[in-house]
Formats: sequence, structure tokens, C-alpha cells
Amino acid sequence: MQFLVAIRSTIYSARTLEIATSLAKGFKADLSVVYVGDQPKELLSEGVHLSRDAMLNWQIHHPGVEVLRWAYKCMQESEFIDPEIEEFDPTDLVEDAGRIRVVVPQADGEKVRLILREGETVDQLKKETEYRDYILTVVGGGSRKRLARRLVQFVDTSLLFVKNYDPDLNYKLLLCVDDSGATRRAVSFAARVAYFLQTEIKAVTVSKTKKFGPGYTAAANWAQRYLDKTGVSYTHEFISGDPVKTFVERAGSDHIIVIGKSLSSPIANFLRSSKPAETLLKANTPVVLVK
Amino acid sequence: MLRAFLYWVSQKRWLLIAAVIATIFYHSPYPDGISAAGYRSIILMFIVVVLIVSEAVPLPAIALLIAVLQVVFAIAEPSEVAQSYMSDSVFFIMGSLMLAVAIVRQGLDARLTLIILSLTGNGVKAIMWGFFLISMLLTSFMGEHTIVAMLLPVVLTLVRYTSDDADEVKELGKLFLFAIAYGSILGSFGTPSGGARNAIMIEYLSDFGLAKISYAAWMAYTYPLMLVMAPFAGFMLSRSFKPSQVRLDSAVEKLRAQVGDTGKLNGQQMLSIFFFVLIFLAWIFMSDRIGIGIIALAGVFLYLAAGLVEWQEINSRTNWGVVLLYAGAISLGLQLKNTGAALWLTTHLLSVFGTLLDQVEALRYVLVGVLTTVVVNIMSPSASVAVLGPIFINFGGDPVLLGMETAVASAFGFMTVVGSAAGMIIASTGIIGSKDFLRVGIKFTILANVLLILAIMFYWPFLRSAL
Repeated sequence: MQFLVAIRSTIYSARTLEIATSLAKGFKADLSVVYVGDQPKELLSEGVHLSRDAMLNWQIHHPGVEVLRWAYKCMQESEFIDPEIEEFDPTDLVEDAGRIRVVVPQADGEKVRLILREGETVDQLKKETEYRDYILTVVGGGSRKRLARRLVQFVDTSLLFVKNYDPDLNYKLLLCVDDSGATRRAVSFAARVAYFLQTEIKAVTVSKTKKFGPGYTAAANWAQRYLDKTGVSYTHEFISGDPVKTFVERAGSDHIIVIGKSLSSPIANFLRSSKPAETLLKANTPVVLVK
Repeated sequence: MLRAFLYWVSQKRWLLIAAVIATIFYHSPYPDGISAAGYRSIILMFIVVVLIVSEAVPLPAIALLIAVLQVVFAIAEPSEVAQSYMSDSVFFIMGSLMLAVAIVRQGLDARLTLIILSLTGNGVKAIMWGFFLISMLLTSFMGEHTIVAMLLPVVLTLVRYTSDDADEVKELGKLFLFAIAYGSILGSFGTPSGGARNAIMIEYLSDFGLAKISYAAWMAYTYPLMLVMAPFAGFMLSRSFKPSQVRLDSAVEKLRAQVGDTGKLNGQQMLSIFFFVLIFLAWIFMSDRIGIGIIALAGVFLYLAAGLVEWQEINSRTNWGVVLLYAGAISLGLQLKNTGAALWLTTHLLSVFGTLLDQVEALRYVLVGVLTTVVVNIMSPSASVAVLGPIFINFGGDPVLLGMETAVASAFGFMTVVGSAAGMIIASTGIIGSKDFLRVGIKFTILANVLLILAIMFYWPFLRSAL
């Protein structure tokens, strides 16, 4: 199982990396850390490349390599990788598939990969997830509407948006159960996370009307049976109201929202925002969209 | 499959938008007073500007599209288009990009560091002024990205030696980085070889039969202006970025020790400096006879023949796509002039202002300065001059002054990362953000435009009659 975490800077990505490392530990997954930096405008790129060549002679590395070095140290400190392993050599880089990979001392097999990419975030994450078979992509933020919508639509993995994450909070999970095709996977993902974090799940099934159709009740029943089997602590509620508003209100800032990724037609998702994407944009807490 | 297609649409939306709008205009009734070829040149200009700004397709693809559409739109014959793609200014762009590769690899950055530090001492303000002035003077002859590429590692090393705590040295790093960027930007309009846009403008003025501007004449116009702007820029930078450090004794000593280890100038470095002095002298004394571009190419030949740089290195490091794009943009600029499109556009633009511009002459120059500055901060300097040059030359005043103004104002890319090569390079360090550019850029852009207008009103007319 392989997870991917996208980081950008040592200041803003600490929490994203922290939660990604914890999840990878819990799921016993390998973790690829990708730094996605801005690509210099092509018309002015020659100077940037020349200066980077000149900087190498002064042992100054690409800012992305420095961020990856910081990420590597963080992973050693959290004991995701062996703290005794020597640090990687920032000049030992391999170029493959349009990205640069830092060669990491591999005492732990291929448990960690450090990757440097430049370009538009969605494009680079899409390319990375097409290159390797990732299950989950962890990204920071989720408040920028266009970026968030495009990530949801075009990055073909489950997505965790680490939004307003507070490491001191004991998060519970808000599981959104409905008749969409991705609900079962969302339930199974939530159960695993709840087991690992030793927390409880608050499952909700929300209908716009007072009636709950057979699809909703069947999904809720299946979820309850599954959660009973796993033994995790949970509650379930049927609620009438606007789904997005309800999810956001119920989640507050101390729940991680787990919701299935929309499986409706790509054209529909392209033209208007889906329920999971809207939930992501309006929530004040981390959101997982399970594929 | 459908998702892949939608993704392509989302990535290429500006290409599609440009194509749709261009198609609509192409098939709409053409306005009076302009030829079909002229009107189609304007449509082509619109497409090119959208594609350059959005980068929806790679640069070489834009250059190829310019050639293809000039023929398909019946703007010019194929042989005419082919000829317009190669000129002395394109040679200059090609040569200066190759020279940059050759010069940067000589390891002269260590020498430059020792010179700067011996002049400045250890005070932060003195070092800032040292970086600023040396960048300005050298860039005026060598080109922006060559100097910034050489000084960037020096600045970053000095900052790193000052403290490992990034927060502690953030302002110091910004001050020094902006010092080399602003110095280089100002230097870039000081001589024709300071930037490709200068060479492009010289060629336009010559091709349109307006004036032959020699290397020395260009310097007479622009160098005093550059020197007047310098203290204002340095002062504004030191007011905008206030590091907590006053002196860098320990960091400077460490840096001196590091660069001191490189020993004396070796034969290769001396030869490299000698060749550059030769090129510089040739630009001053011979460029009006054999062309600035030919001299740049001769310089590249010297570096290659003396084995100072390998062709493979030049070939892999030079962005040929940029050369091709400038060739295409210059070709388009020529067609805008030849088809009368540039004149038509300016006539319509000027009509908005009625007789106001005739009554207040300075307004004309203010307008050109402001428009050029805005476009440059969105599109990059040389491409702006290539496309805007033929339009602004026709703006109703003295075409030579307007052309010179466009070239100088195209250096005022102080407000955005994409406004200049130097800005793009310092932003690539990750230390500088977009807000930092605005923090000092807005104020200095206004001041630079004011000083430029004053030069046009009170100094350049004197040169017009004297030179």
C-alpha cells in the first residue's frame, strides 16, 4: 500500500506531513513525499537554470531538496523511519519520468520516497499518481476553490485535505453514509482509521427530504453491520436537511470528515461542484474523500 | 477517457478561449480603415499575447504558430515570413544566451565576491549597496541573468553564514536578493547589450527608417537616467527591508575564507575576461557597422574556439525555444507595422483621448510608460517590446523618443515575479514571495516612470538634436 503526501514548505507543511506519517504508520503503508514547487516562467527560465547550476558549486541546493531534507528529518524524529540511518546526500538525485527523485539510504526497503516536481500542483500530483499506484494522497489546505475542485476531480486516488488540523485535538470521525458508490469504501476506510486512532465514528445519513429512500437505508444498514463487525465504537443518525451544511455543522472543528468521492459523471463534476467537493470547501476541519 | 479529455480542456482552456475569440473576429465584418492583412495581424497578436501569458502551449509552439498563421491568414508570403524570423536582434538574443552560459561557468563569482567585499567592508548597508551597484554596472554590459546567476549563490551563502535560523535572516536575505535584482534591472536598460529588448528596439527604429542608434548613443540616452534612478532604488530597498543585523563580521570572514581558497585568477579566467572586454569594445566601436548580434556571435565563437566552454554545454543550457519565440514575436511586430495594423491601433487608441494628448504632450509619454509597465509586469520585458514596439512608436509624438521610452519602461518589471529575469531568479530561491515584489515594487515603479518622463521631457530632446 502506498500513500503520497504533497508538501510545499517547512513552515506550512509540518501538520500535513505529521498526519500523513501517522496514517502511513497505521496502515503500514509506504510513503512518498513529493515537493511541488513553482515552475519558472518558460520565457525567463534560462536564468533560473543558470543560477541553479552556479549554486551547486556553492553547495546550495534547490529549495525543494531542502524541504525534502526537512521532511526526512521529521520522519526520523517521528520514528517512521529509523532515526539511526544517516541523512541522504542532497546531490544524489535521479531524474526519471519528468521528476527528480532523491536517493534515500534504504535500510527500510522502499518505505520512503522523496520526490521533487515543478509545475502546476494539480498537474504534477496527477502525473505522480499516474506514475505509481497510490491509494491515498494527502495535501494541505483545501480552501482554494478552484485548486480543491480540480484535485478532487482529476487526482485519481483517495484524498485527505489537512485543513485546520490541530495536533493537540483528539479528533473523532464524521462518516457520511449515503447511496453513492463510494460509501462502502469510505466506511471501511473510516473503520480502519478509527481503530488506529482509537477514536469513535459518528456516522450520519442525511436526506434533503424527510423520507429516506431504500438506497440510503440499505447503505446505512450495511455500514452498521460492517462497523459492528470491526468492533469500533460508533453512533449512527438519520438527519433531514441540507447534506453539506449538516456535515459541516456536525463536524465542527473536532471531527475528521470521511466521505465517499462522487462517482457521478465527469461532465457533471466538471460543470458543477459535487457534494464531497462542496463539503471540503465549507468544512473547517480535515476532510477525507475516499475513492 | 472522458475525464482525460476534460482534464485537457481544463489545462488548455486559454488556448481554446483564444481560438474561439480569434475565429469569431476572423469571420466578423472587418472594420473600416484597415486592410484584411492588418486586421488579421491584430487577431494574431491577440492569440500570441494570450498564449505567452497563459503558457497554454510551449514557447516554441507559439513561435511556430506565428509563422503558420502569418501565411494561413495571408498576412505575408512564406518567403517573407521566413526572412523576418532572422535578424541581427535575433542573433543578439541567441548570442547573449550562449554567452551567459559561457561566462557563468568560468567561476568568476568568487572573484566578484572578493571585489565587492573589499569595497564594502562588513556593514549590512554597505554590502547591500555593493551588491546593488556592482549588479547594475555589470548587467548594463553583460545582461541581467548572467550577473544575477553569478551573484545569487554569493548572497545565499552570506545569509547562510549569518545564521541557520531562517526567520532571523529573512529580511537580510530579501534585502540582498532585491539589491542584486534591482541593480540588474536598472542596469539592463543602460546599454543595448543589457537586454534583448534594447536590441529589438534599435532594430525596429532602424528598419522603420526612423533612426540609427549606436551603442554609445543609446548609453547617452539611458546611462544618466540609470545613474539617477540608482540612489532612489537603493534608498527604497533599505527602507523597505530592515534586517536586525547591522554588521556581518563573522559571516563575511567565513565567506572571504571560502572564496579565498580558490586561489589566484587562472589562465582560463583571464582569457575569459579578456574576451569579454573585446566583445564590449566591439559593441561600442563596431556595432553600428556590423551589428550587435554579430558581435555577440563572434564572442561565442571565441569562447568555443579557445575551449572555454563546450558546445554540448551551450547546447544543453541555452533555451532555444526563447530564441525561436523572440524571432516569431519580432516577425509579428514587423507585420503589424507593414500591414498598417500598428498605426490603425494607435489611431483608435489615441482617438479615445481626443485632442488632450496634443495639448499636454507629457500625457502621451505617461500613457506609453504606464501601458508598457503594466504589460511588462504580466508578460515579460522583451516579448512586450517585440509586440508593443511598433504600436507605441506610432503614438503621435517623436517616434524615436517613444521607442526609447518603450524599451526603458519595459525594464520596469519591479512589481511581479514575471516582470523580469532577475525577479524570476530571486523568486526561485523560495525566500521571496509575490507580496515582497509589491512591497517595494509599486512605489519604485511610480518613481521610475516619473524620472523617465522627466528625462523624455527635459533631457532626451537635447540629445535628439545633438546626436
